[in-house]
Amino acid sequence: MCEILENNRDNILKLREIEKRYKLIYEYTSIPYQSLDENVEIVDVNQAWLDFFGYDKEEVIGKCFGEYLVLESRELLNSRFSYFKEIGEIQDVEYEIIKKDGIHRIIWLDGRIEYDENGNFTQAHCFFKDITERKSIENQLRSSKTFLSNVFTSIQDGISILDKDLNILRVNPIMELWYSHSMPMLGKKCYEVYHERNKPCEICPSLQALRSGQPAYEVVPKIGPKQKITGWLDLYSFPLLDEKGGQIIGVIEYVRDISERIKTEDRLRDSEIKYKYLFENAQVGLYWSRISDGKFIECNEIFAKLFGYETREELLEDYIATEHYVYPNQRNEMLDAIRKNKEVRDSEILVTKRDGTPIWLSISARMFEKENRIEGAVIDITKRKKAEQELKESEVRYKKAYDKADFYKDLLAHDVSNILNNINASIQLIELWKEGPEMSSNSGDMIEIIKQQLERGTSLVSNVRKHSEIEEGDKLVKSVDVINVINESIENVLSRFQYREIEINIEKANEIPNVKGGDLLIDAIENILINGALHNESDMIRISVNVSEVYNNAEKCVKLEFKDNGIGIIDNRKKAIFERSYKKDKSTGGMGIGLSLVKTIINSYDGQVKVHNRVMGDHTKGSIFVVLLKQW
Amino acid sequence: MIISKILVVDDDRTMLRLYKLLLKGMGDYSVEFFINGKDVVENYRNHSEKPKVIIMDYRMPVMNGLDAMKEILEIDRNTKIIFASADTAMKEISISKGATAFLSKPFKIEELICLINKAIKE
Repeated sequence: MCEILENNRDNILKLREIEKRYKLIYEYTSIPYQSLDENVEIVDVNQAWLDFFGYDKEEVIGKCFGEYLVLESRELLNSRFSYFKEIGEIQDVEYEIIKKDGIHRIIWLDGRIEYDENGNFTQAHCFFKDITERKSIENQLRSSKTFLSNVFTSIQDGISILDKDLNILRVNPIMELWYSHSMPMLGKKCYEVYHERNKPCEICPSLQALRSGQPAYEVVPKIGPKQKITGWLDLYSFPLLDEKGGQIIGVIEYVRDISERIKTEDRLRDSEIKYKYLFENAQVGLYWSRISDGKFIECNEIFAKLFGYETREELLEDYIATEHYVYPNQRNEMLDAIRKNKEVRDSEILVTKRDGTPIWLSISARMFEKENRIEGAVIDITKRKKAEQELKESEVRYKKAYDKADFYKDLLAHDVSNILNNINASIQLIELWKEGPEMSSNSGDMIEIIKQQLERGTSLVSNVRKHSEIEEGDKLVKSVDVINVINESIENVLSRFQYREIEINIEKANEIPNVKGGDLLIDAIENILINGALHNESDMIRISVNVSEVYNNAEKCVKLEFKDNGIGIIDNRKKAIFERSYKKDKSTGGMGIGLSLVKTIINSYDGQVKVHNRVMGDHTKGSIFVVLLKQW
Repeated sequence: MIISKILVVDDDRTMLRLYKLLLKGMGDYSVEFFINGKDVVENYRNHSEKPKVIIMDYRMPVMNGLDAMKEILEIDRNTKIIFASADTAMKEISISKGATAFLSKPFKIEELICLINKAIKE
């Protein structure tokens, strides 16, 4: 008996030791554990369970496990627990639980029912593991797979998966569309389906990718039914590795239809060829230049030759437009015009060629400001400009000739008519008076008038002839003793004005040097003296001639001043009195062509002539004519 | 006896001398002479006794005959002006601007006398 009791006590101690060990195991294991009674109420939980849910043990013991589940999981638990109790165990039942902090997690629950000796339910022992992350990854993987499948299906380029033997494993719908004439495709060789060949193509990039393990690329023809080339494809082949990433198990072909691009490129190439032909063979110079510095970027041969270069390369290397504008402002003006109107047409500029020869160009150009570029077309208009210039000069010559004819016509119509009128009137008066007493008293006056008018006519003819001689350049410039010339002129004038009281004096320094003059200088001086005598209402005509040496613009000159007591010249006529020539206003007569001849003669000897009042501010007191002649 | 006043304007002093000799023998004329248009306009403006007729040259310094005639006619548009010029082109212009008659140089004395008498009688 003692032995039996002793054995029982040992057994009880052993059982308690076992229970203690198990208690320790479940208590300290990291796997959450719970035991439930037949009403699904919690009998016990371990520390891992409490840590997982975030509760204290006192808060959960006796509570229904369903309280910690979401509604769907709770319903699942209620429906399955009876089945669980009946069959004794469950595995990997998925529940969604709610932790104390409100966070939802997914668990897999494993459980085993404990029965008594009579087979009655005593407790359900359950362990669970948190599979939230795993579920998340699974979901992601599922999504990725769907995503990839969608991409594979929806991508608008062709995708073909081949095995190592070039058998088609999978294609996307685009490939099925392109090669519908070769359906079904799966399981067939790619070269049979895609190229209607019985062996791989020589340039097959997929074979290259399989051999090298590196992506490969080729442009291959797109073959339609009956081996007809219907377009062109970019074929990219990528090696397909096994899951471990070590072995090549096939190849992914990525196929892009480039038929339209090839056609566009062909058209572009054709267009480029035509454009290049036009550019190079145009009969006008074509160019591109930089806005910033005028450097030429591109041009045709015609353009290069315009500027004296043999080849366009030479011009592009050497010629910078900004350095060749004859009128530098022309470039800025043209740029402003282009900016304002977006283009210029037929703008005319003068530039120089490579060797400095001027060339007129007509430019039509457009500006591309963002690209710092001007493109334009130029035509050489030098001949036209030269012709225009010649035409202008011709017009000037014609106008000069016309004015000259008009001038002589005017001389005849006015000056000669007046002379004839005076002679005519004198003769008529003589005839009128020939029988009367007036004849004896006036005949002298009449004869004098006639003589005077004849002399006036002679003088006019002489002046016209001299005008003509000077204009034709028929004159000799030589050293002249101006004092001798003045004295000779005074004698001539006194002789001509015998019917008037006239006094002409000459004042001079001791030595007057010779001047630059000629045979016509005497005519100029005579005309000044005659002018002073003719336009003089004083009873006694007084003219003084003062001769002196002066400097004019640092040049030694001889100055002749002719002062008279004549009627004077009003200020606004002073500039015009030397200009009776081809362009003069014919309404203001009175001076003949004498003073015009004076100016022409003096200027031809590089001298100057001007007139001002004898008394400052009062023209009625007579004039001073000043002649400057260069010393010889 | 009424003495008619005549003004003669010409920058050619020989011509003025001839006018003087000519008109001296023609009768009861009081004649004044001027060498440019400005002087005759001033005279016309400053004297109450207006001339019966003015003989006017065209080309003259200071003021030409056409401008002088314009100013005189602005004072009295009934003034009789005989335009005498060697410029025949002035005939049409001077008449259109108000000249009574145009005398082309060289002229006949009878023609001048006739035009003067006609102008005075009108």
